[in-house]
Amino acid sequence: MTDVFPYNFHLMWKAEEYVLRFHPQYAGYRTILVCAAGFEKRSTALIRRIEHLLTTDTLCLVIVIRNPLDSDDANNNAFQEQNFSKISETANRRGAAVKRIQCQLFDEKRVVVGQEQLAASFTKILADEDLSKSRFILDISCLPRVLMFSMINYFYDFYPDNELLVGITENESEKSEWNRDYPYTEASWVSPFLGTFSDSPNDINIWIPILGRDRKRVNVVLSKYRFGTIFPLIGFPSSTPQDTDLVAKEHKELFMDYGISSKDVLYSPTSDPFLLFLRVKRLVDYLTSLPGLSARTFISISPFGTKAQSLGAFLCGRFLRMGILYTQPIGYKPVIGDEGDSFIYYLRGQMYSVS
Amino acid sequence: MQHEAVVWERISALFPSSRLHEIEELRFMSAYKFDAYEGYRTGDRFASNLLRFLSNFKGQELDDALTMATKIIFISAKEMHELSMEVYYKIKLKLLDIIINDKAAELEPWEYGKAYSKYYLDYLEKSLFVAMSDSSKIDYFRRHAQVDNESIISTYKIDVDALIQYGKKNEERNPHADYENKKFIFLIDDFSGSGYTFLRQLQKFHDRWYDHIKYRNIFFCPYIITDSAFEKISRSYSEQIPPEDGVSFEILPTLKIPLNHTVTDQNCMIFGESKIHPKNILSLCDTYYHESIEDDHTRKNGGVKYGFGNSGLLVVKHDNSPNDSLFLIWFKDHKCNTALRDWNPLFPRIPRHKNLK
Repeated sequence: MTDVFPYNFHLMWKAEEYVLRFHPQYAGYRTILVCAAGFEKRSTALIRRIEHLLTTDTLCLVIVIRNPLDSDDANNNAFQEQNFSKISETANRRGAAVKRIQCQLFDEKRVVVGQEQLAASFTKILADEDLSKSRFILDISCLPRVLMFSMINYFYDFYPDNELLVGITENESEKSEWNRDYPYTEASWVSPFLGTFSDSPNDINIWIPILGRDRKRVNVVLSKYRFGTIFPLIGFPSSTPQDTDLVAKEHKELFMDYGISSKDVLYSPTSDPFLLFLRVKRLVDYLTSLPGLSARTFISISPFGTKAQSLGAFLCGRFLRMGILYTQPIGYKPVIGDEGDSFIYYLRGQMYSVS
Repeated sequence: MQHEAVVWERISALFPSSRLHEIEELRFMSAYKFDAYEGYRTGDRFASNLLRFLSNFKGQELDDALTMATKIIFISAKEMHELSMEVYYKIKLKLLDIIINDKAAELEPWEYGKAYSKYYLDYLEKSLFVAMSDSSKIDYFRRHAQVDNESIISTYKIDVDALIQYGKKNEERNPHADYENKKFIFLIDDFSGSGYTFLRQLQKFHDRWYDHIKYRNIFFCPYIITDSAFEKISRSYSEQIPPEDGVSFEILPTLKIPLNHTVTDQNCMIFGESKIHPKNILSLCDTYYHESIEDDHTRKNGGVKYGFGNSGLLVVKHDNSPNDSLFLIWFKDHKCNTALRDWNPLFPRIPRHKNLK
């Protein structure tokens, strides 16, 4: 299986287009769908849109996340159960098997523990499955980022011979990103992308925050770490022509306090993780190529934008060995509104193969 | 700069404190983007242009003028470069799709890797990238896309016959210069607001080029295109390319400006749910418009009162203001014989066709 990144070209489609173009020509591949029964309508969008890929040998692993630290947990859990039922109905309609995986996001000390529970469940369930000629589709739409990174990485590492695709459905409105009243966890490195922050005055700490519509997260990170250099990344083009500037305005204090000019800003499309990776790679290659400074330069990235941008941050973590620095809200208020389009991002598999 | 700080104070003094937040945001945006507008002379800044712009209005109009200024969609040079890079990746994928389709007997529909390694360079050789205007950033596109110099044409108005002769002399040295064998034409431009200009150019291009080069596909690759231009071009391109020529046409858009991001659309969302703002801003256009700002070309396509072709845009590019945006934003002509002679625009437009008389 080809695992060379960055590729010379990038494959991504709207979910419906993916199904239309590669099904049934792409038959013979078993689909393993991993998704989370989230709190919002978008939880059920991808499976509905790729329904025709599901067959009697398809396995759907549906994650249900509990978070007793969230004062809205009971309420949110009711939404999760509804969405779990809807996902199961869609899968069952196509004769696909469904297995439920439950995990807890935090322990009582606010430490994220879900990733270990998920990995253990995947290993146990998939040990008995015939995975030759199968593709994993990981729907990360409703997974908290702290779990998303470790989950994608798990499938990258443990199933190197399988195709790996990621599905994302954004909410039509991104208001949840900046309407949250919850406290955040202390900023920390997301497993397994542990970075370094050096206190030595001879070292250079560089931060690439992917900015979204919530400046609180940026402040949480800056309350713990004081970076010498910041290169903000802003989505452009965005879902609407005004969004890029709205994000910049939301963070105007960051620009002013740190003397960041527009020359220091990286842009990349909000829906293209591959281009985000290439932008960051170009900058990182430049910064680490400065004579004598490579070993003393520590670069971290923080995914505060869209899910697709976070997938780009994952690629940076994995292929550029960057630390991913993040702060997770303790709770979540679901967005009432419509689901946006679903996209399929093709990370690894025979489509990239040259032989 | 002290002068600039004083100008911002003057602007703030024109408005109640409830609007200070918006003025602060404009101040931030001026440093972040607006001051880099290439239509500003040395020493000129967004702040001084805003102050002059506001002096055009009186009473309640001032509020609407400020609201309009806060909603300008300004595309910086860096953002434009970003779009040109994205266009390159779209083109790459499009060529791979064409290869897979052409080689269906040999390649499975998903064999992108094989298509790339085996045929991509051949297909790139058969591609020609043509700039449709001097603002299409074709030089940046070429450097980034690593497309051969011979495959880039910086104006579609070139003498095609001479180009082919030049190619024949050089094709042994460089296969990209074999112009007669070009099959895929990519027309690159930075902006399409109403679609009128492109359709006119497409006609000229096809009339001029197709006699010499029997290409099979034309792709229009605008970095920015409005929904209405997209629809107009999709609807009308067949009038420019006769179907019997067998040339297929497709638009590969990068940044699309939706219809609801135009002031003239009844579902305008630029100002959130407010329906009063678009109405008031159109009414400012009615108040200050004078027929004398039109020329033959604009008059023929509905005039520029609400932006050329009724486009209703609030878009400004770093290198110029398109006339598809409301004339209030860009109109400047001190030779004009009407009251508009003293009009102070926010982002003065540099006209493409200067009247030298």
